[in-house]
Amino acid sequence: MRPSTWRAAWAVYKNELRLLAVSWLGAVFLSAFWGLGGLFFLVGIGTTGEASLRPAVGNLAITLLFLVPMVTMRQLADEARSGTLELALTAPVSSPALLVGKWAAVVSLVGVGIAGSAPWLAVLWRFGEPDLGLAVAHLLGLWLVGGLCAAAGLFASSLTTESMVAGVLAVVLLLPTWLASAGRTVAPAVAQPWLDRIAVLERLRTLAIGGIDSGDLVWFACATIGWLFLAWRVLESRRWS
Amino acid sequence: MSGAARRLASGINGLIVAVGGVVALGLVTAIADQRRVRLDLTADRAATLSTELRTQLERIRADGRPLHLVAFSSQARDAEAAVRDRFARDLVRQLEQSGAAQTQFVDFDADRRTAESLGVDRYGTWVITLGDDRVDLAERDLFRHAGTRETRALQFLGESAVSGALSRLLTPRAPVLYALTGHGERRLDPRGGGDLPGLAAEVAQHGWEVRPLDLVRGSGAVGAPTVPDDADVVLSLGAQVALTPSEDAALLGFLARGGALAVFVDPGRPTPSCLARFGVMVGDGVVQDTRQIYPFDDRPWLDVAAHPLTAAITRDALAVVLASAAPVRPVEVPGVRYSPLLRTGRTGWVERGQERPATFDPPSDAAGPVDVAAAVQGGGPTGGRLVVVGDADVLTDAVLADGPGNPAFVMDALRWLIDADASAAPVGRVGRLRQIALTGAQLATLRLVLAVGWPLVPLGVAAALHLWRRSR
Amino acid sequence: MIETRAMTRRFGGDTAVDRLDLSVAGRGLVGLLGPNGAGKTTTLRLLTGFLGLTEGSALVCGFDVVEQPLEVRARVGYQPETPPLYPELQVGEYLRYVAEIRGVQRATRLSRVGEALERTGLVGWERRRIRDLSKGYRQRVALAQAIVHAPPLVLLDEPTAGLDPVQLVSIRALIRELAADRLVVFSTHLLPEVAQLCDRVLVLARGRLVGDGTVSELAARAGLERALELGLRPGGPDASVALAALPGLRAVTPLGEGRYRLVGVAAADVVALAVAAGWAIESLIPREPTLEEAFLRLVGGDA
Repeated sequence: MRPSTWRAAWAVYKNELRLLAVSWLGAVFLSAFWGLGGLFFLVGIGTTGEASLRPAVGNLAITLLFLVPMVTMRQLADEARSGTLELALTAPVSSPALLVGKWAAVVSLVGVGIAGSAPWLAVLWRFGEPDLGLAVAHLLGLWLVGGLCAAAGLFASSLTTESMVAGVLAVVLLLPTWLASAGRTVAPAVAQPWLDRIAVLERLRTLAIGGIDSGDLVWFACATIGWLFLAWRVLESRRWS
Repeated sequence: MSGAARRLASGINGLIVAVGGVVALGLVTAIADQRRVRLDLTADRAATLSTELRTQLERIRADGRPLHLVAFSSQARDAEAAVRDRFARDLVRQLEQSGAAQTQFVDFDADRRTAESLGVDRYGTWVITLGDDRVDLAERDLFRHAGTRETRALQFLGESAVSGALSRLLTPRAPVLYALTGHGERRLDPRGGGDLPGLAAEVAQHGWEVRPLDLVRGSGAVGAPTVPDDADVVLSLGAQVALTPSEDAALLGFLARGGALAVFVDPGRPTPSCLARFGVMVGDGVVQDTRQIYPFDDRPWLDVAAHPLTAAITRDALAVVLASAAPVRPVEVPGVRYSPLLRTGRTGWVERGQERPATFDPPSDAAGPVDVAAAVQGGGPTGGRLVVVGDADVLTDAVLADGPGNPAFVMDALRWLIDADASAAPVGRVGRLRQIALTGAQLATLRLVLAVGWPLVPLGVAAALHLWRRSR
Repeated sequence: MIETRAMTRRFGGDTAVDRLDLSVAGRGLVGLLGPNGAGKTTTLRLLTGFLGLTEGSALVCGFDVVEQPLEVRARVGYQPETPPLYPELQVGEYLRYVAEIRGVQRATRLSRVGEALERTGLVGWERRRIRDLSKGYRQRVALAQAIVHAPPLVLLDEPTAGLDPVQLVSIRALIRELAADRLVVFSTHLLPEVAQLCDRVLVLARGRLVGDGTVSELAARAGLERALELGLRPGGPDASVALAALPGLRAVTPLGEGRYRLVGVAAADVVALAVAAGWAIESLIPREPTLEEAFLRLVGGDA
């Protein structure tokens, strides 16, 4: 009678996609990402003359850092306030299935955003001599960053019932991973290996040159799972505390 | 497990579970970082180190001495600085990730102290140390421009340069080059002075030792002159007078026991007679061609023949320009292999007359194609190696700069003579920037399309969806 | 259907539900009554598994809410105090989603949604956006989501809060009808509603169960009795002393202006006395103990 975990996650996933579509949030996200991304792309190729996304990848990743939390902030915070979270948590849907379904919907939205970089790639192929493998690596890197931001955003959203607070909190939680790369130049030597461990830009460097490193993939997977795990523990602690 | 969910979710237990989970994931990433596997998606294989370099790094690990690499940034004012630094950082990081080296990328402007401590005073320098041994790479060893004047593109030779440096660090001793003196040769002195400062700097950069060799007075042996036993290569750099028979014999003996000889000779100047015994001779006259290298009118266009020594020049389509060259041709000698390196096309000839401008006048002038440089490999396990170039002016700074391929040709010739088994072509990929060219009008159009038009599409779709739902 | 033993829930130092022992089975409509802060919502949330028990146990539909929460939730329909609605979705979209997460198989999903729409009077409203509905219709949608998976137990938290009188009538009728083939437990602090609808009332105060039964059982538990209210023409002499002599009288309370409340006497005896004394009787009304009286007695007595 009760759905399996995967069916439950699938149901939540579909509903989240539906909500993103009908609430304009998805459209605004895509519009902002493609607009900003297009600008960064054109500035990048105009400045460096390089036929790749690499000059724009860093800025595109930062764009996701700010845009994805705007989507995730309503997923738990707003729903807690409006009562729809109570619907999900009183349905035969486990908290992990709920979180995975919501996370997957945002990751899919990011995927659509990345797929929408096709015009940029078309420009590269039309006017330059790009490397397809390099482009694939760049897009994969952005998608991994999007997944990480979505997971952190869900965690932040689980902590509060105010969606704006959730959005800001997600950015605050993610910023150290961005700033760690810059911070290592001024940090004491003993701290540098630890900063390297959390620095997301360090994990993008291999992808930026067109390689897929298993260590980086595992890092992204573990970091994403980590945020989702923490969100799960928050939901459980609310249930019992 | 009754109430386990309750116990694990609340209070201190909940915190412990949360922290424990994060720590466990951290351990997983640490383990994964120790056992990395990399997939290179690029067509240029730019994301992984070459097999040769990785093999060298394995040797470094086995060596046991610590390998350090400090790379200094390019000059910020340089328009290409950002690209150069990016290439540099990418390679430095890959070397760091290999686990065989400790690396550091230093902003030259921000961290002068490190530069001073290492005695570095130039932007873009790389300092590679293996234990107490050290090799410095200049920016010109790492970057070069290739292509025509209209399509000049920056190339990154980092892997090759690092590989060369590692070879020198791993080699027990530096190659020793003996430059013949006493016959009016051009002086090659890496310590400064000398007639060939540009070539001397290149040689010094490679860590090759250059010593003068006066076969008559300086061989140190009583009796017939001989080439010292520690000689890897003997150089004859533009001799003006002929060698004595005993000197010739010494060179021939050196070749016979597997030595390597480079002879650069100007037209009309004498050449060692041992050359003919080793399968090559330099003829009289000056090589001419109706095809001239722009913008010169006395520099014939030369075709580069296929040979390991010319692989890099061929790959990068670099032109080699000689000032005025004597013809080089083979002599039939059993057991030696003659290979042309540079030659004219069919429109070339050997000019033996004095008229200016030179014109082909058979039968005094010999028709082309004409070789102007050749490599000869002796047969058998102790076969010697010989490179003959019918122009010594190519060694001077002025003529070295005339042709984009000139420095590479000279250095590759010496490299081949030092180690014939090593490919003279750079190890590893040559990094290059794939380029895109857009006009201002195109950029403006794209700005409109990509930054304005395309982003409106999702809003339009959302609006259409909204209207459709309301109409149902 | 619901069996709790010493079910307790604390929030920090506050005890919201205090050793609650409940046993509810069968079909029908059970009211969960109590003032604000009595623990009604917390009790319902504990039974749905939205909140966890601090102590004690609870079995719902035969499954333990702590050990088998998903099984419990599959068998319970729940409408929280704030209707869990997505304003952007259409009614049909929303109910199909709820049906899916509540485990309704794809093959029967559409028919189940149709049934829920029919029972809650929402046929023809499937394509309306929830945002565009009135409060009453949103309440219907909230009810529909609670029953879309045909659960044997439905828990409703203040389902009539904020509705106007017309909407109240229709929602109450719906709830009554839903209880025909399942057990419906709904919480409220409105006594008339409970008195009007419920077969059984559970009274909570300060997290404890202070009353459980029908209205008359509650009254008895509260120590309330039937009484007669005698109304004599005002201005006459005080009749308390004379009334006190009535056989079986347990209490007489003057209510002022010639009215008296008499407990334990028969109406005939009162009439006979009045006639003999020459009193002019204006009214003689039997009074049953009300739920309000019982509630106040039960809740107040627990202070």
